[in-house]
Amino acid sequence: MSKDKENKDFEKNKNECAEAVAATPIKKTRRDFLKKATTVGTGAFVGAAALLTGSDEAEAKTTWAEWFQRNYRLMTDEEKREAVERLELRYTEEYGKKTTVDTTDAKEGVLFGYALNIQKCIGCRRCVHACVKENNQSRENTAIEWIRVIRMEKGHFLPEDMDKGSPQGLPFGKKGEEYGIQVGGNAGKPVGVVLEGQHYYEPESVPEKDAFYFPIQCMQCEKPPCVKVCPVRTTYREPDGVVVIDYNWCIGCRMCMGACPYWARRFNWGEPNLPKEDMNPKTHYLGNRPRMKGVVEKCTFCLQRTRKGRYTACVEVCPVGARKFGNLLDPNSEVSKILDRKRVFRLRADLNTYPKFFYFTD
Amino acid sequence: MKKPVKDIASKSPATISSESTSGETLQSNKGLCATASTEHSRRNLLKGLLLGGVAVSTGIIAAKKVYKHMPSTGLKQSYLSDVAPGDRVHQGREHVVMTAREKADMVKFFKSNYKRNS
Repeated sequence: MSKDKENKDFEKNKNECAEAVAATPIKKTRRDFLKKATTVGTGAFVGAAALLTGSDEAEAKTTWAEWFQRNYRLMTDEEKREAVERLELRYTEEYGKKTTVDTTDAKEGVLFGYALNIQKCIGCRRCVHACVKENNQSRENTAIEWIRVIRMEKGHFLPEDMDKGSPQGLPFGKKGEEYGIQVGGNAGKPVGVVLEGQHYYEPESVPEKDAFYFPIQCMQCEKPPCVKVCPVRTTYREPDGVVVIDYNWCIGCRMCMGACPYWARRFNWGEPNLPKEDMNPKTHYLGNRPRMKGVVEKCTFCLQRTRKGRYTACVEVCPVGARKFGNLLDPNSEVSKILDRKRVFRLRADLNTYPKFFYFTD
Repeated sequence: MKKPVKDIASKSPATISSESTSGETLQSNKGLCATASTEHSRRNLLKGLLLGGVAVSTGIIAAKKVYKHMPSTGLKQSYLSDVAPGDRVHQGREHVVMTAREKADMVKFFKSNYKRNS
């Protein structure tokens, strides 16, 4: 048989085969489905794995390892060391400067407390900017500020209205609603009124006439409601009283934000915008290390500083000395003395959250 | 079914076609079809794996790039709406100065709570 004939026969058989296969009705079985599902699943896994492990970038390696990382509180010392090394490498590469991730634990016999002199605050918002800078918060479009300084209108004391008592329900709130702090006794005009958009006020100079300022941040509650509601227990109270977040375990459910009566928590809606040149390379694992999109963050009393015996950034920067910080267990600390001698009030004392952030007047 | 498949698979096209001329055409066609479909499915699996991997990788990379460069309009509003309600609530609050006893009790509570937890 010649070669031509052989080839022709083979071609003919092939065609017949193709026709036969084409004529066979396609029956989809469960096996087919599972086979396809397995194929796609394996493909996806291989693809994702290739993406993350194939790269030499420190970020990719860290991300991959973080998937299998335990909650910070459950980590062994060895695991903590490994996690810190990975992060340091990643941040150093990403921000182009030698970055350290501290894991200093709470000191024995220390319970942090904070006091703010509301009479002295001039609303310059230097504390806000210092906090943003110190704690590597997101800038510009995705700006996050842990400290909020609210501009409030002062009330007026009118002798002719002395007998009328506290102002009731006019003109901004619901009918019958009482108003704010009675700074100056019987006020003829309600105080503590925040006008729309005054959260980001930008006056030419401060303090403004007829205004006082009310800074608010995390109160580091002794009984924190945010900790109670966290479904993954990623936020918890440290022995020195600071409520912290393990950012790697945060699932971004925002339950803590709903539970916080002080609106002190912030959610990263977008990828944080932290310019390389502005990044603070001295970080703490539970504090100011760069966060990621989809996690919640908040004030930590500058753990990276206070656990090393320094003041928080906001205390240091305050030009009028309105902010005081110290150990509540030490009767000679500034904050203890304030509690002892000054007129002190707390926000939402009725909730029994026992905030460790106090406001005082001279 | 498997045995003829294996036999035929080991034969060259020339051998198969010569057998088909000697009256075994139908049998060998069936075998050929089986061989072809077996190869086809195995190839499909590998192809699927490879294509799936590549497609998923490409998809993830592309989605990541697109998402990164998406304009972030509305983000500012989202951030603001997280804090603005707080301002409104705080304005309506009345704050009461603590009495000396309240302060002393509070410090006592802090101390006892610290001892209990440590």
